[in-house]
Amino acid sequence: MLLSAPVLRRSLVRLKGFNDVQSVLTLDKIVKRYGTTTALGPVDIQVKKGELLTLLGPSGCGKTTTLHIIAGLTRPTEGQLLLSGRDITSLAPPYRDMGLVFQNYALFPHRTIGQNIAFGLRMRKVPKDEITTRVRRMLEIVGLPNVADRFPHQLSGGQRQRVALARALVIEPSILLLDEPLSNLDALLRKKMRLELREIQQRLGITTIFVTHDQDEAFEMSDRVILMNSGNIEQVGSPEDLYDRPQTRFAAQFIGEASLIEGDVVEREGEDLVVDIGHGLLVPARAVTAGMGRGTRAILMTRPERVELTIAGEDGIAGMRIAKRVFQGERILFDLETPGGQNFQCSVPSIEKYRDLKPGQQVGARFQECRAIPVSRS
Amino acid sequence: MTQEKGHRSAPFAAALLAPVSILYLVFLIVPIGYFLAVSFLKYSPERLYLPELTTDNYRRLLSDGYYRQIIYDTFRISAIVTLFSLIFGYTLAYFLSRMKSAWRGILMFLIIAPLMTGVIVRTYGWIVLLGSDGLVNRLLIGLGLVSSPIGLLNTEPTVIVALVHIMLPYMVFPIFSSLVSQDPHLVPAASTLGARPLRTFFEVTLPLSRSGIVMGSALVFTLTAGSIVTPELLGGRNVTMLGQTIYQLILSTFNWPLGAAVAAILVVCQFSVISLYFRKMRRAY
Repeated sequence: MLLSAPVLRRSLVRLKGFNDVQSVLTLDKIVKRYGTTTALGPVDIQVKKGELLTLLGPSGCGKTTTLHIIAGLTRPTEGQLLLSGRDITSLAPPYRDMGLVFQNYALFPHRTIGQNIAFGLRMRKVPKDEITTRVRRMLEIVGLPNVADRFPHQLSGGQRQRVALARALVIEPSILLLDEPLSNLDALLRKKMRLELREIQQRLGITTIFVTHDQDEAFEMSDRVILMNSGNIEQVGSPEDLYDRPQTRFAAQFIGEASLIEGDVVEREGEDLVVDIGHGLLVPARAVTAGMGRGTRAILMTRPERVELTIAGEDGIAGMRIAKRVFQGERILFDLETPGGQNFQCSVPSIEKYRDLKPGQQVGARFQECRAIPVSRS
Repeated sequence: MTQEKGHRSAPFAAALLAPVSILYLVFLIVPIGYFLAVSFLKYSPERLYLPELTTDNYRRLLSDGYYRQIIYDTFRISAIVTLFSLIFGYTLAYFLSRMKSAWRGILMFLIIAPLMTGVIVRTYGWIVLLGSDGLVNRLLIGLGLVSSPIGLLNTEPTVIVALVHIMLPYMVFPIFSSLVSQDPHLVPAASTLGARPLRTFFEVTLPLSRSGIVMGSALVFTLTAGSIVTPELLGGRNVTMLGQTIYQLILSTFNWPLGAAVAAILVVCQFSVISLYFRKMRRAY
């Protein structure tokens, strides 16, 4: 069959999602506005086949809106949504082929567990015998083989969570969407379910988008994390990337315990910088991005466990004052203050050497793996 | 499920229940027991009733075509009124439950407002509208659709329309509350699982509002079956329901035993509707 040039070009545009390596779902400049306020975007996201991608951020950052746009529950104001290269932007949820697990599970209270899980299959007109087999198999996968005849209110929170997962998975969606599925569980169960969820996801190899505000969850479970803040993407990367090389002030502060100290870049060699944090105190740091030449302002990011506390005679930057000391048992957390009046934290093992240090005393600090973030990007 | 919680406060709860229990006993149970007893006594034109046990009153009611027709009409009209109240009430309640809060308050008030005026006032309102010199007839004549006033009053359809109007709030509120108490995520959940809007309604929303439907229907049915003023004023001689019959037998004909028997039949039917409602509600989910 011969295709004319414009038709060919149009189909190529339509297949854009396919051109990017293995991108199952592509969000192309998605914007959501309510009246004149922009709630989201513009946001570009590419979801790879089989990965668990987490949307991480504080409440109101747009992560749930993004998820609802993907599920079709919210219509984006602008932009395009491509599922395996097909434009699904204006497709209603029933035709989208997405499995969504709600924060409160949203199980049908008047239906048994078996009926809840069978719901999506019935809507797809799957033959009865097949429904029975698939429901039973799904219940085994989520580890609840004997609850099919019970009602949702007869199950515990953790069990309901698994049923919600089973209900979303049984329809074999092209993408599984999880909207803070663990936040209604108690702390212990939450940790257990993280591993279990991840295990099921990997076993089935299902592409998953996971929304959470909990960075531990994000780090433990994800292949990639998208950090969001006030409707925009701050940073995309592996959990290690995000923790180790935050690109913005927000990323540094949101993820892990971080202390930020401002200073001027005085020397540069490749990625290695020397930053003056005031009163001539020089700190070596590594630039997280290009374009941080001599004379530019920089934010140094340190983590408490990466600062070594030094006392007289040891090799460190002297002149730090202990502002606060918190004894935590196996570790001691110090709040240190630079001569310029900037604070940072330092966590040391609870050994004799540090145990008697009191607020007000002068100590030194040695910074390890300090990161420099450009001020302009904060 | 929740009953276990109340154990420790049982004596206190019982104390709170005392006043209303006494009220019900003195002003409901005792009078009902009294007329039930009277319904089994013999009628006497001079002394209201004679202390002589008989089932004649019931036998007469169930064999006399006049009374049988009234019993049949009452429950037929009540069923029709319940059905129409349900159709209009459900759509209204559904609409209310899905709308933005500011407008919802105003509309709720408009639905409650008629309850604040008496049933007689509302019934007279219908007479003003439907009388031979009423608004509807004037409009019909003005439009040239009819040449002389048509008889809208004293017909059964008019009684039914007015009763549906009067009973609507009793249907709307239980259904409304059963709709707004549903988890708002259930509908989107069903839709992501592949259910189109109409399917979602019949699979999820409607079955979960069953308690409201049963409650509203039980209320409307029993209230309609016991109505007096509306069928009397709008139905005239053409519509007679049990309530009017009791009124006539007790206060005009002074046949207390027969009136009591009619009342007993009405009360038994109403109770069976209510107990049906409670049986439905006990089914757990």
